[in-house]
Parts: sequence; C-alpha cells; structure tokens
Amino acid sequence: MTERPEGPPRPYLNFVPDYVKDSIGKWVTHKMQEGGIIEHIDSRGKKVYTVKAASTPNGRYSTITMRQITALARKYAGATMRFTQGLNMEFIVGSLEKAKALKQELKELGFPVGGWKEHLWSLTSCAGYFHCALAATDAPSVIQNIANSLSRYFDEEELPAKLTIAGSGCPSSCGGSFLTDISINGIHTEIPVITENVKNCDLQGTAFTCPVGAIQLKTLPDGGKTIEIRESLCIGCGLCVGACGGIIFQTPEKTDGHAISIGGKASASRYGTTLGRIVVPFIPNEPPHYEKTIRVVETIVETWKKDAKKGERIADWVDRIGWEKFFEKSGLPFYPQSMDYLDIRGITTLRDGSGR
Amino acid sequence: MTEVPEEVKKGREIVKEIERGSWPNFLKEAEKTRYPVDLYGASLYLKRDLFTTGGYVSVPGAPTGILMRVTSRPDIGESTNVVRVLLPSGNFITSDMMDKFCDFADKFGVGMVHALSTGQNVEIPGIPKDRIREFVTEFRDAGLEIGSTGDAFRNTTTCVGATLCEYANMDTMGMRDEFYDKFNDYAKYPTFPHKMKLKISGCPLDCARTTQKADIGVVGSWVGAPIVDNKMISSMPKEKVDAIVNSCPTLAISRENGGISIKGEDCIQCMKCLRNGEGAIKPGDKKTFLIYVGGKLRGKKGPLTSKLLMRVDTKEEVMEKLEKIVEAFTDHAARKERLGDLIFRIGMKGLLELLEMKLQALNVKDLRTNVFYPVSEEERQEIANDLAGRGK
Repeated sequence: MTERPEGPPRPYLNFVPDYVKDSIGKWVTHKMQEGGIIEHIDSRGKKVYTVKAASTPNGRYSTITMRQITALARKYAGATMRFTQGLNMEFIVGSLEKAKALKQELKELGFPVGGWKEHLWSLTSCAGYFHCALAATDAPSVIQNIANSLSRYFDEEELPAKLTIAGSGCPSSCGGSFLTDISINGIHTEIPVITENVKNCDLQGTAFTCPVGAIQLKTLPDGGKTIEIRESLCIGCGLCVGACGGIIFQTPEKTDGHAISIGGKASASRYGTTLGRIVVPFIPNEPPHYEKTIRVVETIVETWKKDAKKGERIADWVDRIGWEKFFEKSGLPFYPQSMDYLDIRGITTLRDGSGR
Repeated sequence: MTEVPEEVKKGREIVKEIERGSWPNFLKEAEKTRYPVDLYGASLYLKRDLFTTGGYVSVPGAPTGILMRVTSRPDIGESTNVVRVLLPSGNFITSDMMDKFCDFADKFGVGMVHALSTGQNVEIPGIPKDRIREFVTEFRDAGLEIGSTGDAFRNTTTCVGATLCEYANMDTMGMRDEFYDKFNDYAKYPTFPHKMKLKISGCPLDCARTTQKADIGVVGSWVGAPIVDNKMISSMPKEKVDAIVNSCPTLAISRENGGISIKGEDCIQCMKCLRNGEGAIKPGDKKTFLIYVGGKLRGKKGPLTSKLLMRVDTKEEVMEKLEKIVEAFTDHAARKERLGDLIFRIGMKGLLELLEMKLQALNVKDLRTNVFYPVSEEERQEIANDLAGRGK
C-alpha cells in the first residue's frame, strides 16, 4: 500500500521547473519583453521568461481544455505551471523563442496573453449561483460581462496603472472583492424573517453573530425559547441566515443586487494597504448583461484613465483628488448610503479639517 | 416526455447571452462538461440560489476538504458536492498532477476542474455523495491530499518569493512547507472557533495580500537601508537616477559622487526605489519578519485590514508566536468569531495581554485626541518613576 500524505505535496522544489532551481534566491532584476512576457535575470546573467495568460473569471475549466493547457506546459514550460492570486495562468519558460511560441498557442486556444504593467491585471470571482449555497446574487456572470467590456485593457490599451477587478456574490467576499481596485459586492437588502425551524438552532450563538445587536432572545409563554429580530436595527448583512437554517430571506429575487466599491489594494507603495470604499451602494441584479453595473464600471475606469497621473492606482488617485471631486468628475451620484453602515452615524468617515 | 419547466427555458436564453464575448468563458467551459448548466441558468432567471448546504459524509482520514452542495431542484439538476485539493507551495502544479486531477474529475465528477479558487486551491466539483469515500481513498492513495475547509487553518498562501522574485526577503514557499511540517494538525482538524488563514509575503509589496485578508500574516522585510549597487547607478541615464531619488516618500535618498546613498534610519521599506532601480537596489541584509493579525473579509464587523502585531528576527520566533496566537484565539474567541472580530471586541491591547506582551509605539498609527483616563495608583507611580530625571 502506498503511503498516504499528510498536508500538501512538499517540498516545493519537486514542482518548479529544473531550469529555475539553481537560480532561486539569486534573481537580480526583471523586465518586460513584450505584452505578457517578463524576463527574469539572475546574478550570473541566466534568463528565464514568465508568460501570463488570462483565465475564465471564476477559474472553471472543462477537463478537455485543462488537458490542452497541461499539454502546452509540457511542451514549453518544463511540464509545470502555476495559477496566480488573480487566477491567471503563468508558465515559466527557458527561452524567449519558446515564450513567444507559447504566447501564440495560448492565443489560438482563446486565452489573451498580457496583464502586466499599466494594464488590467486580473478578474476574479466567487462561485455565485454556480455552486454556492449562500449567494445573495450571482458574481461570475457579472465579471464575465465586465471582462468582455474591458478586455482591450488586458493586452492592448494602456491605463494609468495596474487595475484589478473582483466580484463576490455576498458580503462574505470570497471572490476577493474589497481587495481590488474595483469590486462588485453582492448584497442582501432585506430584513430576514424567522421561521418555525429556528427551534433547531443554537439561539444564543445566532444572537451573538449579529454585528448590531438586533437579535434578541425571547421566552415563549410555554417556557420555550425563540429569537426576535429588531427591524429598526437590522442592517441586512445575512450573518444570522448563514448561522441558522431557521432564518431566511423571503424574497431574494426582488431585493438582491450589488454594491460597487473602489480603491482596494495590498501594495505598500505610496499610501499603503486599503480596502475598497463603497461608491454605489446598490444596483439591482439584472442578468444577462447587467447594463447598469457595466456602465458604472466603465465610467469609473474612463474617468480614472483621463484624470489620473501615470502610476496612480485608483486609491492613490482618489486620495489625491478627494471624494467630492471624484463624484464631480465621474458624474456618478453620491448616495448618503455610501457612509459606513456598521458605524451607524458614520462619524469616522466624515471629512474633518479644511483639506480633502 | 416531460415538459421543460419555464425557468429552464428562460435560463437557457440567459446563459446563451452570457456566452457571447471574446473573454475566456466559464459557461462555454461548463457546456463541455456534465455540470448542470440548466440549474445555473434557472437560478439566474429566478434570481435565487438553487443550492443549499447539507448532508454530511464521514470520511476516514479526511476531516476537512469536502463541501456538500445539495440541489433544491432535483428535477432540473443534480447536487454538485465539491472536494478541495491542497496544492504545492506557490501553486506550482506539474502537468502530471493536473492531468491526474482531470482523471479524477472525469471518473468521479462532472468532468470539470476548478483550476483555482480564490483561496488558492484546486476544486473538483460534482462528486455524488455515495462516491466521496471511494474518491478520497483513491485520491490519497495517489499521493494527493484534500483539505482547507471548516474551522481549521485554511490553505496557507504565499507569493512566489525567492523562487522567481528578486525582491523577496525570504523563501516564502519553503516557509509554507515548514508550516505544514510543523502544524499540519491545525490545518487538518477543524477544532477552532472559526477558520484561520495564514498568508506569507516575501516583501512589503505584499503579493499574497497578507495585510488585507490574513488572520495571521507574515511579511519578510528588513531594517535599515536597502543595498545600492553604485556601479550600476552611475551607468544609468540621468532621468532614471532622478526617478529613483524622487520616488522616495521620506526623502531618504541623496546623491553622492555620481551614485546615490540611502539613509537607513529614514527608510520605511516602501519598495519604491527598488521598483525603479532595475536591479541596482536590493533589499537590505538585516532581515526581519513582520507579523500581522486580524485581517478578514467575512464576518461580524465587516472587512478589516490586518494590524501589525510585532517585528521578529528569526523564522523560529515566527512559528513560536504563531502557536501562541492560535492558542489565544482558540481559548478566547467565541464560536464563529474570526481573530479580527476578537480584536475588535477585546482590543489590540487585550490580544497583546493574552500573548503576554504590551502595546508599543510600533502598533500605533495614531494616538487619541481626548484626555479622559482614570489613572490607577500603580500607573501613577510607574509614570512618575519613568519620567523622573528626564529632560535634564
């Protein structure tokens, strides 16, 4: 009998291409060769190339396509490949000729090659209706539409700086929304109701999940316990629905939609790590083409492209011009609901002093 | 012949619309498999999620790694239970390994692989409930491991680190391997109040997003000035050197006999000059590790960024602190409370107390702007003693 593993396959050296192994820790610099091909140079002048290709927005592939991709990795990239944080495919190739040939073959397979420097880097999405059990709204179909409308920025047209986009179907943000320059965040907008099944739940635990203390324990006349939701306090976050099967959203088809946030980034450059800020608090869920969402995203990208200085990501740009100018320049309406709802009066997000 | 329900017909129209466009399309991919696309279409039309969680399969040797997804409309499409697969560090997947995933997906699943989830795992969807045991046994016999679900350590993600990047201050992928060597039980058995995530970045540019969504984040950094190769700098055109000098937000870079010099005490390790330096500037050689805690997106208090906990000098200390933080978390967090929410409830001061540490200037971004503070007699003495003799 073979020995069964504990933990992920290790050590990692077994999985990187042979021609990378002796350069580990010795890299000196990298530069762009052409769209989607980066040259890495080590201290002895040895060069390898990384080729980056776009992926489907939620990373789903049929095994038919995936076998074609692994065949390409076998042919060009030392029979190994990696997927990046942004769900893009990366192949590490030993020579520039091979890199160019691989780029060509990837394009023929239908995968754009590019996504570095001042371009659209990545589009990520959670599962949404595809197989999640808690989705408030669908995310992959929204991101698919955004990808189609912004695809030229991945490999052709330039932007002021890096742009990442993510979409999640509910406030859990599994798709990585809030982390990216533009994020689509699915939201529940209704107040959940309590059904009979609530008696099977851990009532105290459920009450504890509420961030605003809107769930109260109640004793019934017959001595049994139940809970009650105070509607005036509820912010519709849906945490109690996830915690207890007896609490449900009654009419998700009427009320679901998404909020759009901008300006999330992890990079330490300039102003440091930020999470996205909600600029549009609600757009109704309108498959298949989500016209309103696409229009807002395009408006934000176009305004940023026109107004930002080179190297300024959306967060840096808004930090420079201020939110008042952002709404003025983009023409998007400002909604008071963009203020922090968990901190109900929004004191911490109000402007102070005379500057921005 | 049964009639096709209205929502399926409408759903198919919606799906057809989404399949248009040039970008790689997940629905076109799904059509090549046995995934129930009709069910997805119907949920788009009904604007309702047609999957629910439910069911439980006890699989020996696999306490984590299985997600049960039950269809609420069995007349349209079948349940698609998902098995989550752990990948080698840095998500490097050999072609043989990926082909093996495809073989399993064809044999047990619907012929689809989820090549990467946002948690950096491969997922194989569509495994029927009664075949999960068989799947797991065969899968583990093939030398592969499932995991990363439930209230345990989810998949530890890293940037590529020293393997492919010149900015890296440490071997991030090696550190991940070491984490699993030491703490695999944390990852395998769901015994925590809520999930935990460890992320490791090799430099402050933070490609692994440790400062955004890691309960425990480790960032490789250095103390003092970066190392400058002035031979390379002097051969650069003037504009490029200007760009390097001007990029410094703290004005730590000055010109010096044709080259540049960086004042170590002014450097904030922002990586700007390294990015402009084209290999002439490298991270400093006095390496440190920054430990961040409490980042998360999901849960009670909404998305929170990670907060800097401390700076340590060795990898061993990182592992030691990691264990302490996990202990404090398991002992003091309420059920379904993430570390970030715990910090929100008890304060950073509270967490540091649990770790037998004190709040330092290092932890602080800003100080309070009010004077209110009931001083205890002990503190009165302590402050008086501290300040005695200062300023002379």
